[in-house]
Amino acid sequence: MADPLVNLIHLDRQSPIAKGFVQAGATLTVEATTGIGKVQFLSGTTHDRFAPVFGVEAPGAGASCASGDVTISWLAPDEWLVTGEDVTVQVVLARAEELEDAALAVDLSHARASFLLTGEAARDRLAAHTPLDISDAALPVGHVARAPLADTTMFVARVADAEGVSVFRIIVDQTMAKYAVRMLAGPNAA
Amino acid sequence: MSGWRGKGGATIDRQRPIAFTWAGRSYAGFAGDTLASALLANGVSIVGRSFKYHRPRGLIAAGLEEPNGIVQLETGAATIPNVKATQIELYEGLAARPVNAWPSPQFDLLAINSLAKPFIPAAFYYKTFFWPSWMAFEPTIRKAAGLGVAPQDHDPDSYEHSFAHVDTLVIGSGAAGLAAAEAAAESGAAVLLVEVDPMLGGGLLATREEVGGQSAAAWRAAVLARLAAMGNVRTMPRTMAFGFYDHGMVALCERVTDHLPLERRIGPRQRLWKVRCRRAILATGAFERPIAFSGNDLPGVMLASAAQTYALRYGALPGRRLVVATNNDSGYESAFAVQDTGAAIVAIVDSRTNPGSIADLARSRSIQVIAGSAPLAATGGRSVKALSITRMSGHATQERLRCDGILTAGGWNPAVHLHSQSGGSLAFDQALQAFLPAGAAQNTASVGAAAGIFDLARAIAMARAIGRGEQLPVAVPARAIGPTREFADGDIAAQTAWLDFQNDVTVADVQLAARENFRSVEHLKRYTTLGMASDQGKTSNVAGIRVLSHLLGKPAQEIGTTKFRPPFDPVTIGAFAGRAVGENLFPLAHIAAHADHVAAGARMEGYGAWLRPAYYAKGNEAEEAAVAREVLAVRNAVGLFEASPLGKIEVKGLDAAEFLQRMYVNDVRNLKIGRCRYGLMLNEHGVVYDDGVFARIAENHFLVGTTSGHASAIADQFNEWLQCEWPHLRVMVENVTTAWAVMNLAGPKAREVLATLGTDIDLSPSAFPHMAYREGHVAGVRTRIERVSFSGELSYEIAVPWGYGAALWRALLREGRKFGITPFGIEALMTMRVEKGFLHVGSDTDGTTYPQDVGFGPAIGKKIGDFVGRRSTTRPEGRRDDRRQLVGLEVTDGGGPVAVGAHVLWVNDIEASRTRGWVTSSVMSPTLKRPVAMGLVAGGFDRMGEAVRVWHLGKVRPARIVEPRFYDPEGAKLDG
Repeated sequence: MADPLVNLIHLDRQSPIAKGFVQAGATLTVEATTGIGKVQFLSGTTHDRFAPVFGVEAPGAGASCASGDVTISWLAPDEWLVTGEDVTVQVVLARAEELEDAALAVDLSHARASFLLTGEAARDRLAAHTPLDISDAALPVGHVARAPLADTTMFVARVADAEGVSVFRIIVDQTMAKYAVRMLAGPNAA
Repeated sequence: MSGWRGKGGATIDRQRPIAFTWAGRSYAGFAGDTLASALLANGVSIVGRSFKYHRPRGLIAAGLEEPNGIVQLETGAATIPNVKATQIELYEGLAARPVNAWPSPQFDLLAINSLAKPFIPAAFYYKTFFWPSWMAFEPTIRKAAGLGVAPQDHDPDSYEHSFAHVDTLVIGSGAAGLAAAEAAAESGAAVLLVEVDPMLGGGLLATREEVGGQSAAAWRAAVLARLAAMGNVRTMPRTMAFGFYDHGMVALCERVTDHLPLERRIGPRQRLWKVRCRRAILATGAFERPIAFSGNDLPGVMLASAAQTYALRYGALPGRRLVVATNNDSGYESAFAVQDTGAAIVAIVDSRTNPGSIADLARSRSIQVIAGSAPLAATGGRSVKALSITRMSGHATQERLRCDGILTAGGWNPAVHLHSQSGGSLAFDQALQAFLPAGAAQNTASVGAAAGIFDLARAIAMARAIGRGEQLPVAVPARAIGPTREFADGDIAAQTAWLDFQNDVTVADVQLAARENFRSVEHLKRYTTLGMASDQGKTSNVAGIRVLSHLLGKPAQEIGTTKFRPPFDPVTIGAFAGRAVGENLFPLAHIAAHADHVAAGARMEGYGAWLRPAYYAKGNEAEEAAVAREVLAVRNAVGLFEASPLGKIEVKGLDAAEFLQRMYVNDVRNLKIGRCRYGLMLNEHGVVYDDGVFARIAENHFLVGTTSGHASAIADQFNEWLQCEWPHLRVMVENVTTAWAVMNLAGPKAREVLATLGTDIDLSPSAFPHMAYREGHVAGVRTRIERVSFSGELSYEIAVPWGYGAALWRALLREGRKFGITPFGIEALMTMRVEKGFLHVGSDTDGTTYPQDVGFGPAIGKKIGDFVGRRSTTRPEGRRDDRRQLVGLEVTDGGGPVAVGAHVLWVNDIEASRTRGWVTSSVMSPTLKRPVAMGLVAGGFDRMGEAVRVWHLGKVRPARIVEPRFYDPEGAKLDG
């Protein structure tokens, strides 16, 4: 039998899925190379599993923490979102896979689109489409949530402020990426 | 009435004239005017015609309770129907016209209805237009009825939504609202203060009362300055709170650019807010009640408080010689205000026999006070000429007062709408003859006039205390209003004594409803239309309830009110829609190679949440021809179909097999690693809900396939069962549908095409048989491949990470060219699955279909153990012999396909007397060159070969029940 890989064709990845924008008061940047993974532990086992996989203690509900180059964010009891450089995220996912039947690690890098929204009007842009309280008090830096974004859903993280202005990481299903951009753009944006 | 511009006008700028048109004529007003105040100042007395009798009507109110001044604003695409003139801020170039009047409000042809009024009382329609059929009359009645005209063109404006979270929401910015907001803010709360008016201040803008030793204007300015200096207070004028929902959610509509000339409007026209508040303070004020008397709808009859507002805010007066009819002190305050602005007060007619010191004050102003009397009848044609009055104890005319305007002050109805919407209860107050807020269901408190407190000092003190968070006992109004003149049942004057001006409901109509036993307040509303339409009875409801109370001898508290429902006042459809218009109305997901499909000529259509290729037309090729070409290409060579939307759910854990065993009709436990199995899923009622193919990736790891439309729903159901019913099962679930793009390579040459791309997976039939699953690489990218087929041909569903999907599509097309590869769409796939007789859940099943109806009876019989829906399938209903079962149908007349949805009848059935089932799928088979169909037919499994008739829209065709396997029944083609 001939070598099955002899006619190998390398496929190119298509990205980014949607384009960001720079508008008065609000800038949306596509994080095209961000790796996104999700790790689930069997119910009630986070306490034992988290540190061996991620190398840090688990943050509380609605919070995130850094571990090396990746950020681990709470999604739900025993469910964690891992974001960072694609290669690093793969390493973390592989470590979770070593737990075999005690963890489910999935690479969602192709399934999600990640954006950074910042600017003086960023909070208003976001508040136009989500019932989530995104005030400083309710969503301080380092906190995360899942919430509706108009007619889709999002993961939102309040990341470190940039030049005194709030920055939100918004992750949506990649099929809704263009819609999310349209929503976050001003009503008169093309 | 002949309105005019007098002295004063606290909120207009006489240095800034504004030109506008009304009913085609040019007028001028001032900046700060409303359309209503500008019309009044220009002497326009008739602003519209009534809904039913087309009677001439003038302005009654100055706020959103106005029932008569309903106008059509602007023209063309920008036109807005049924806007209240009192709510339109005047802007340069404004154009408006009255509604419900033709050719003009001065001369309206349909005013002939008014002559027939005695013959068309309330509920006339219900009694008259039922023979021969309501439908025969409806078009004409509908044409004659109605108010404004909806725009025909696309709305040129944009609208937005926004959410907000606050500690304290204060609704209304009168004295009580301002005081409450300030006190709440001082206690550290984040406060949002909203006001429907363009200016904050509410009643303070139209009063000459002093507050704390200073003028109302000065007090207002001082409070506003303090609020502006606080960082925790946000004020929103031009914003109406229109709905109070559960858990402190209040809906607001902000008018962002409505006050600007059309050419200067930039950005959203209106913004709909959803505010979550921990506490709401309702400072919504009160509406003054009209007084019912004969002819009280003549232009020139106006609420006294409205006249006061027009005089003090806009310097506009409703007439030069005015009579004031009142039953409380507020009528005097209004009389004094309009007198000081330039009008003459002919008399104050007070129903009280001893009005007290306020009457002395009036006399000191040379105003005649006639105590113990009430209005009997207004006379005039298109405007008021005189008012006849009577003693409260009699019915005879006591005196006829010549005048050109009548101001009525019948007491006040607190605006309890939002309190009631929030779930709060109401109590009828005998002293005020009005409903007041009683118990609260949420964290709300009513203050000021909304709580029945009309004394400014008391209202402010109470509002401050509540603003600080103090709990106060329910406030007791200070002074009772005077008596109201009642109408005897059958009194002829009741026929022209209006309660609801917008809907033409008179006292006599309420009497008629009571006589005909429509005595529930909800029935009264529907029977007479009292309190319907755009003003929702803000000036009429309580008056109507009082009339009913008097007629029935039943306390108003027992009669109660109709349900207060959102919106408090009309809100534009655009505001509700917000950005959800056009492509944002229902955002469709794009598949991985979307652009390539479009470039290839695909006709993209919405299938559930996805935009997918229906077929690929070549040149001017028709759909039927394109589908046939695509089907034959797959049958004879190879086709390529993007199947990315197919649901993909990873299920992993030590109990994964046990869990899926419980979720599917089919056996899961005995599935070998690397193999796939078709699975049918039921809901708890035993009804077929979904199907798909699941693959066993590892001993405790499955990849579950679902239909495209159910991926998220089934992942959610899996989690619900795991979290609520079987939390002990060690299973984890993740929906990875959009992580993987899937290309379906189908046809006898599919294996050769796939091999050409390069793969480390052994594609030989023995190594990779039908219903097998393999992982590896294709074209250098990691892949998951399932050998499953919905077309009946050799078929590979090749999944790669989504971002590589488009490249894979292009590579397969390029490499498949020498094998005659053809892209095919949903319609070709559906045609092929019907040729094969494959079930399509949702097409071939409905909300009553059990698995045994689609051939899964034997599988259920063999399965050991329980699964979701199993018990339900064994109920007597599931064991009936005449259940509709999925069978094949062949027409026997040589014609084309039968229609989907056509009814199946037995040969001897009387046509359309009783259906025996219906056609669920039907196509013209390009492969077999004849039509084939499937249908759900009563007892169909036992009727193989029987002749039936297929009825569709009156036409009947002969057909035969057959096994639903039309093409390759042995499945020989599945291996290529």
